[in-house]
Amino acid sequence: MNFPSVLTRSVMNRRTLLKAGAVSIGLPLLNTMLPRGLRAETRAVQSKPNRLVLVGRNLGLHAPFFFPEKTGPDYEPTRYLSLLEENRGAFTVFSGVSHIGYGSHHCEKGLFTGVEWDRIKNPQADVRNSISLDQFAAPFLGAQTRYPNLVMGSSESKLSWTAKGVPVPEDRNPQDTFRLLFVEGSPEETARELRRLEHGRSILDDVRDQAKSLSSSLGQDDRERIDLLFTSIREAEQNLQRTKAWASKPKPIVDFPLPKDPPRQNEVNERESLWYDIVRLALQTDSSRVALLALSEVGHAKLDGFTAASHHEVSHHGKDPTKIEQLALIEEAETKQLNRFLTLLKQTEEAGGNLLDQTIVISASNLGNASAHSGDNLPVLVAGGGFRHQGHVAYDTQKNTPLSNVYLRALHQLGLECESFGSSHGPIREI
Amino acid sequence: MPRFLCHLVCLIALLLASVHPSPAEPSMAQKKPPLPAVFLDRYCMECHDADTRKGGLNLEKLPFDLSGSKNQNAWEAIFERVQSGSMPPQKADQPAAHERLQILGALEPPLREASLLRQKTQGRVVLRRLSRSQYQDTLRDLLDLPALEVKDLLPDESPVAGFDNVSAAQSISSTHLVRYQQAAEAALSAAIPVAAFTPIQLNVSGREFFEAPQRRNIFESNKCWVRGEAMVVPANLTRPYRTVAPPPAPADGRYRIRLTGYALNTEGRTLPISFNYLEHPILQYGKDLAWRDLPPEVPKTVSVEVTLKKGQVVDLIGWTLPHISQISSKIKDIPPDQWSGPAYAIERLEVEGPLEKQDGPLESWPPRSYQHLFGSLPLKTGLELLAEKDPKRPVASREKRSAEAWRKDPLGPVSLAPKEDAAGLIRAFLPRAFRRPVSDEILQHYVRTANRLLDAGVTFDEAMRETYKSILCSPHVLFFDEKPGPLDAYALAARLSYFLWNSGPDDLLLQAASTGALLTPRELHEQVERMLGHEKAKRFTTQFAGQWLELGKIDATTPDMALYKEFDRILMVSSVRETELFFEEILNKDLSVCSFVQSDWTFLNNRLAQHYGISFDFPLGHELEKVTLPPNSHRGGVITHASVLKVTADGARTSPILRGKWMCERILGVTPPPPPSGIPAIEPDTRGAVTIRQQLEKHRSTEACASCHRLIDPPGFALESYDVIGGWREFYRVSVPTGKSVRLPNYPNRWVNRGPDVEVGDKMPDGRSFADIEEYKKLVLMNPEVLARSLANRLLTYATGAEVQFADREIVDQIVVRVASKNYGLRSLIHEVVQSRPFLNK
Repeated sequence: MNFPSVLTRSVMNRRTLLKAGAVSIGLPLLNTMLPRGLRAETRAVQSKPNRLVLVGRNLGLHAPFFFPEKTGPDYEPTRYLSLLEENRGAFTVFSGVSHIGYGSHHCEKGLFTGVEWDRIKNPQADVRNSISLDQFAAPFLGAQTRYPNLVMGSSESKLSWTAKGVPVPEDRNPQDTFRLLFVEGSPEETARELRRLEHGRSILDDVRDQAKSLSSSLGQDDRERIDLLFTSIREAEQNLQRTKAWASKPKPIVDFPLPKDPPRQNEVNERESLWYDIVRLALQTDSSRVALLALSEVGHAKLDGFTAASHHEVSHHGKDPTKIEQLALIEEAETKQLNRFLTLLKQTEEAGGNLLDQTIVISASNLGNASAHSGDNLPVLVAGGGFRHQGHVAYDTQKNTPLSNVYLRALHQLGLECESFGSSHGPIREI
Repeated sequence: MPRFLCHLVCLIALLLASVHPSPAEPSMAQKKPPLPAVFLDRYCMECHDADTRKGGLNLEKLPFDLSGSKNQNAWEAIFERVQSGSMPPQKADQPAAHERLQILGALEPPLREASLLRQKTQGRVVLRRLSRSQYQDTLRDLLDLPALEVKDLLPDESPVAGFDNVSAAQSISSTHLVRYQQAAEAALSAAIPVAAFTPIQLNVSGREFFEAPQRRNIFESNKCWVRGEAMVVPANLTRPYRTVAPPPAPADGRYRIRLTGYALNTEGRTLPISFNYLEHPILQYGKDLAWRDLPPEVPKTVSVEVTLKKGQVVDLIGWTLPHISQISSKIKDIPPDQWSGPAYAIERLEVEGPLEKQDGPLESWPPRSYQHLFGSLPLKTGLELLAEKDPKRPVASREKRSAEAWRKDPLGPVSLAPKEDAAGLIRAFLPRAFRRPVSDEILQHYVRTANRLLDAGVTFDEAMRETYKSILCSPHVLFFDEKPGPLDAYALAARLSYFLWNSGPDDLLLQAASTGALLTPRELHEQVERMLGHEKAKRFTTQFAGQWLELGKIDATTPDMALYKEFDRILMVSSVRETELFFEEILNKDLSVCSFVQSDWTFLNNRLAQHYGISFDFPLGHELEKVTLPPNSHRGGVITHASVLKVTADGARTSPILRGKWMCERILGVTPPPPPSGIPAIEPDTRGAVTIRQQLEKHRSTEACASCHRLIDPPGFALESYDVIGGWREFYRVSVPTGKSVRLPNYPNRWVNRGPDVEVGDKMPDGRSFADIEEYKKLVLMNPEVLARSLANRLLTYATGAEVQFADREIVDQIVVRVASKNYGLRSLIHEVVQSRPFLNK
């Protein structure tokens, strides 16, 4: 297996092992290989950080190929779950969960926020979304890391939202994200970057001053908007402050090549594995503890040696068996990538355990049946995070359990004592 | 008091107040509906009382107090429902016509007053931000950078009412603030050249072009050859081949390409040449920039002007229609000059650029983008400066410098008196950027910013860049500076220019603002005429018409290639062009807005004509021309354009619901409410057993669904005669073999599986029935004022950045009446909108 790891600024790097002919590929990390620059290993030992990874897809998974019949840990693997066999016991599939009342289109906005459908259902009117799970967890989990959270993936998915209902744009270029995380600038570049950040702050001061003078003659509605502007300025200042504080600290160096031209949308294996690798490296180096990955539709997927039909088109298969088969090929590829990610997390040792134990991975889609545009019975998989996993937990497929209940359970597992999240009724108890 | 008791007491108080108003308490009396209590009791309370609260509306807890926006909105909605007749619902007791009029008459004046009061004190439009495309166009115009792209650096906008510039939905976040800084920085980097460039000035014969040593090999391997003074290029080479590519663009800007040539072996037809650009020299699909037709055998000169980014290469490709895939495999083994397939000959090729402006001369040095920022200050490299101090020092000529040398030692502005220069430059730049004169206080603020940086030892170049960046991120740039009440002349100029140009005012418009002339109806009219005639008005088409008709979604779905193999990019690009030209024709000739529903003309090229199955007795090339449609063409009006029909379908199926909803919202101006939750969507079945109408019957037979579907479905069924790529059809194509394979008449090589017949025809909401699209159009055209009102609402929304409000209704009524006397002309409608109260006030 390809296992491009990790962290060269260490006592003994992997390349030395390879040169010595040692077969380290696929082996878990040796603790001596942990980074020294950031002392990530020390902090990991001290705190055993909790982490959260959200993976969102916008076209669902073909339900008969995903959900098993039997419940509990001894389920018989379905077509897709058979691809996750090596991680059996490390995840739970939930059937019969959804965001109650969510309709067809435009529901991806609520996938990780779980707000009432009324607040997001009409894209032509005011969308009043609320905070998404990753943004909610970031201040608690990510305060000590370079990036409190990462939002990555393809365009226009809008899965991450602030408390004020503002969508957080994704980083769309893996190369840029990789640079931010792992590529150190030259001293001059760092100095210029620091000056730039300093000036960025003075620009924000200007914006504040001028907005104040602008607001003197405005009406009430305008002043509310100016207040929102002031809040945003404060947040931007805090972000700049944080960036500045980190700008002079060395970045962890990973033994992973700088991604060249970003894979195209339809290069599903290359693209998804690259994003997963970046997430894994970010967690492993403790650069961030919260990540959201928006893996939207792949177009005419390039699979092993052939080009599949358009993902969107075959997801709306209209019960045509050939299209369902083509859809399955794409979804198998995606499931394999998820499996690879989970396996690599599991193989990464950390403070006596492994990275997967310390990371809750939630993979979900806003569509239960893309062909019917149905938002019921969503495909939801929760992995890692130290849960007592149950294989398959089945709720009522007619009267669904709120997905927010699963989110609430995850937040509790992460140590966040909150009473509710989204439209939760209470945490699920099965895991 | 415990909390729940508090609530209880309040609730009781409210209930009492609404049921038994006490005249002793005037504040309570105000909250009582003036007259409609009886009406509400009789017709509404059964469903909208505190117990049932159908649709979330509890009339017992809705005092008629219009001081807050929440109540105001609720009562406006009630008014609209009663007025439109959608409430009370059909199955319930219906009020007599006079009862309806009475309640509407009672509600209307206070609602209008309240809305107007709000407009006067707050303005219709909440503090509006430039949309990301407006910010991009603003920077393009401000800095003369036509190829600048910064839009994608900024967060997506959330469209409301179909437009991405509506203030109510605009978000502001810390991300926005950071991203605007990045966008401004990118614009400044593009504006200040770090390397000198030599403009392209190529003017060669085909033979000379072919024989240039650096190209000859490529041409030969691409099977080009020389014929007399011309160079011959076979058409139909599968992309991506670099066939005829002039040198890469030395800088961002506009370029003119003039080609004299003719088509060969095209059986008397013209050959379309696509001008498109390649990001990378090879192996990358380019973007179509323009198409020109070359006539057979007789040379013709065609000219295009395109916007390129630095390094982009224009590529000229000859195509034959309809399909390109057949020839490229054959050409490999044939010696070039024996090629008997279609080709084109280049007699002369001229390429110039970057140009100073549209149709202008070559860009001077330094480019105008630089001059806007640094005036006449010289642009020099560090080594050049050293050489000036020490004349003995050798310095390489600019022409001979390598890219690496420029990178290591870039150009930069040179100032001998940095602080004075900074002050002068900032003074000149600020009013253009802020779209109005700037106070001395603000000017001094930015001068201090520059001085502070200079004092800190930063170079003049960097100090100015940072100062300009601050200016471009100022709220005066990012927001519309509009105060409640009538707009001042500068605010009006800005609103007008963002409406028609998607960008800030030019000098002429600012001048009209500075004298105050712009505030007169006459000058305002003149300016609208001038602006609509300007090159930048193209943005009105792409932005307004593009968003109104959702042309931006043309590439959002890929047609199912098993079902619609005849679809190709040429068709897609042509279809959008048809709609844009159609819109511009209506705008420029002040034609009736009814043309959007029906016209006996459109713009076609040979690809669209084939797709529509229309033949003419004259040859059509690839460039679109205005044509008169023959009778029974099934075409006319934007609603039968392939573009619109494609964006209202997905890649495999049409849905009368989606198309119907689109027609209602975009053309008829009716917004059906979103479906109630808990209703499962129809799961389509393309195996051919059931038609969409059979599936829909279920929806239409339950009362809860029928009330809306009565509105939505009819236009959807009228348009069912068009498939997902806008082709005319009498039957559905299905994905599984049906034993009935049918050849398409306009695509002789295409066979499809015949499924069930399309069932068209339906009933209008008022019961009049129609059999097909033609009859449907006739029914719609009986009420042209509906179309005019719908478009007036759209224009007002887009122009002001706020949806039409209650107080605006009377204005819209007046506008509709006035344009009725002008045959509902679109241009007249735009003038009326610009001269209207909502446009002239915040």
